[in-house]
Amino acid sequence: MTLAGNGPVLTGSGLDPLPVAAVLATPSPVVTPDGVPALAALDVHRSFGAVRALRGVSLSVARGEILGLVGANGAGKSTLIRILTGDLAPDAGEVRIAGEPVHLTSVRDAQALGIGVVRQELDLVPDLTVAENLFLGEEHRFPGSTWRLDRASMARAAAPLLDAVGLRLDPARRVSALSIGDRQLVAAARALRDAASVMLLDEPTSSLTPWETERLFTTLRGLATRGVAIIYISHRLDEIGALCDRVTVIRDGMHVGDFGAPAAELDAIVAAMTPGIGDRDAPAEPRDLRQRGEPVLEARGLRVGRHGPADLVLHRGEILGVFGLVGAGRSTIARALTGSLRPDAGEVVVRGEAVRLRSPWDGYREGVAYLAEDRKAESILPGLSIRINVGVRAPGDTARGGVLDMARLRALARRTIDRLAIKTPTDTALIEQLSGGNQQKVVVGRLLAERLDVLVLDEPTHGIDVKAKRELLDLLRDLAAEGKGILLISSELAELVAVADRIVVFRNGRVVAEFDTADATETSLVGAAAGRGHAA
Amino acid sequence: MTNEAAAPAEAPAPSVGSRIGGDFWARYGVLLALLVMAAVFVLLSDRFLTQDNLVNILRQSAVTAIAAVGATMVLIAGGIDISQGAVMAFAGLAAVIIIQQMGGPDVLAIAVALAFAALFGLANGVLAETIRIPAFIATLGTALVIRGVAFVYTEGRSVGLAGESGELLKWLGRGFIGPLPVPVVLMIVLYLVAAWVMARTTWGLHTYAVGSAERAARIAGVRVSRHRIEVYAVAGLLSGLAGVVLAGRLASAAPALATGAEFDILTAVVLGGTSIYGGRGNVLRTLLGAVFLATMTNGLILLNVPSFYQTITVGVVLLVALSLDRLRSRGTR
Ligand SMILES: Nc1ncnc2c1ncn2[C@@H]1O[C@H](COP(=O)(O)OP(=O)(O)OP(=O)(O)O)[C@@H](O)[C@H]1O
Ligand SMILES: [Mg+2]
Repeated sequence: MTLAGNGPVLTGSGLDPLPVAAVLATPSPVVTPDGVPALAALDVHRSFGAVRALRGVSLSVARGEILGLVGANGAGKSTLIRILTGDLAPDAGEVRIAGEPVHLTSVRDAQALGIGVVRQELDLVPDLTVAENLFLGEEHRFPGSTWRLDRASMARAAAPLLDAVGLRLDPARRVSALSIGDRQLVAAARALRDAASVMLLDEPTSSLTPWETERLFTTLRGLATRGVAIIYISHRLDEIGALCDRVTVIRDGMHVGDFGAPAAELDAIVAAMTPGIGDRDAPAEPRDLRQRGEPVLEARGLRVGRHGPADLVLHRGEILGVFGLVGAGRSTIARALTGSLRPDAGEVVVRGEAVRLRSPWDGYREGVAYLAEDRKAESILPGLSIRINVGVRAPGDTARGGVLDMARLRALARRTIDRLAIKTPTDTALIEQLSGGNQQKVVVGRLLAERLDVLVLDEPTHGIDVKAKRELLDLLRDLAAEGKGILLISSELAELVAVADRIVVFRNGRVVAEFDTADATETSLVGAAAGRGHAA
Repeated sequence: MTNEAAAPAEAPAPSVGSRIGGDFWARYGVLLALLVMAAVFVLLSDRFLTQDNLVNILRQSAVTAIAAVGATMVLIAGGIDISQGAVMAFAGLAAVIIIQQMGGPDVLAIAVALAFAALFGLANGVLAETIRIPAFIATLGTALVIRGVAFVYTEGRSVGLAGESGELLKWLGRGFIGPLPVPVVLMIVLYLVAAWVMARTTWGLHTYAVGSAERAARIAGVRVSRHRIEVYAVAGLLSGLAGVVLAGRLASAAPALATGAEFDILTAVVLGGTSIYGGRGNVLRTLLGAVFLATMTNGLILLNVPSFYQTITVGVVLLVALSLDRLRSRGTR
């Protein structure tokens, strides 16, 4: 089998011609006369029990148009996407494709109509390979055979899809072995497979760095010029400004505005999403670096698999930002630092003493905790309430001698809901009933409920809206000011620059550069992450 | 529609979500089915609704119900234990043999039997969690070994409690406290304690957490393997208790005792709405499941239905309960 690794290697600058033509070899099955939206939702309603997720939303997107769909956490964006793709039935209202009302009853219906989708919670099958995931439900078979899979043909067809999203990996690798960022790109590649007329993307870049994002955008722009209608959801407004032709804002399940020139109207868009946000918009004061205390967490020659050796020092009262491209080994080293992965070599040093952390539980005992990047697989406890998701370790005084103090546990959950503005009718709602961003707030709240010295946060703002993100970043600064050490892994440069005191850049699990935040620029960070002097 | 703007502070939690129907059946399904079935039996047989018969039903359900507490915990924790019948047999035999053949005091005999049972549970846990053999296979293996040892030791014969010996053991199985049989009292106390443990202690909380999402629970600082091992040990202990009660009721034990009991137990647990996919379930409803099964058997006997048909009925009930579980789990995935 020929694998992508042997094929043409991308130089990675994002400028080489994209094989989008190959991706879209099949002509669009939906021919839209100009003027008729390729996809439209008309007055769509949907409730979950007493929660009214959508109360009369309309939107439309034309062929070749890139529509940004924005709104605060829980505004109803993902619900709308689910309805547009046949995953969920509306209570009332209509979906139209090329002007024709359609009744989508399954995801396959949407696929057949040329709608590709990247879901917020990735729906790849972890135990299958990249190629198998790419052609799930659309497997290639040998001519004349109903059941013999033609793997060689799939591997060939996988190459251009992976190229189009800038992924250079062996399509025979299992998805479970990939980083979240890579998984997002695989999901995008699979959506490209279907996106003959419409492409829907629900926060496709939340784990991608600017590099990978730019690459994806080039592909999306290419799709749009070929007449594909695109709906793009993101909480990263700079992306919305850079990519979208038009923006639709929804709030509490209602359409609240359309903006025709997003790049110039970002402030107005934010105001429409979250009224009142301007009140607390003052940029935070830069903090005095000399405030920081003694080292609280150190990696010394830490090595895990092909990553490392990593050396870094986190001080009390400090926020240390960690930047790197997808696959740079940031999460691996973070896990090794907190007990969720055992290092092959090297030392973890907590408060000046080398410790052996055999499990995250050991980490908690040392006052060191990790927030995982993969919310769905590694953070939330599905089937359980918000209350239990926050208080699963019975932190602080919520249990005595193993007996829970139910009143305190409830109070803790409600405090968390207030503090992080989690949108839910009650703390006994199941976590999977929350929107993605609100689930993220719950798992962040779990860590905040503990008395810890060190927080190692892997993309903590993953999926959180603009306002909540600002509040969370402020909160992190407060925590640092109280003397905690915070290791902040983020693929969003603006976020790192806004709160970190120092930023280290990772490549191959190694720290390849360190900046005082004041001196860091996007070019210098991205340059260091990509490896200066390298062809890339 | 309720006023959803005001977050209800003290109101009972409104059921949010499309699973409202599923929740209702999970919560009250067995109870309703039990009542309907009981009503049918009352109509068809005038011997059903008598105090003696009702006490009898409870006594019939006690042994299964006691073991089912452990099974519920194991399933909630995301495991499975099919060695329960074998452990029951071993514990019952051990108690009877120590009293009858070794002349040990009752208390010691029971304690040793329970200790063996807990140890077997521990072994299940270690095999499934430390050595990481799939739980179904691991507990199948221990079941074969345990029952095999019992057959070898007794040469396949049953052992009876003669005359006056084993008073305490017999009391556990046959005695009365007021109008209630001792096994029934034991069962009720056990269920109250277990329900409290599952709802009000960190141990219970962690049992749900490890079954809900193993990796997430681990990263959240729960000792997943260690906790599951504890759960298996508790389940072993409770199987042992069920076996001891059973031996006391029969005043004898045999290596083939409680053969296939694990399937009745699992049926009771699943009827009670506990998910075989982990993370979800409720101990008290398992009691309803066990009582449902005992009522069904009792009623069918009163109606003179041949026992082969009873087996079929239990099988059908199990499949229906599992289908409901499957449908509910799919709804949330
Ligand atoms: N299965 C469900 N059961 C109950 N409520 C739900 C369910 N799915 C969504 N909701 C509710 O519907 C509302 C809209 O959720 P949705 O996921 O569409 O938000 P979103 O705009 O995608 O938010 P985010 O930016 O956080 O992803 C939320 O209040 C959420 O709690
Ligand atoms: Mg969403």
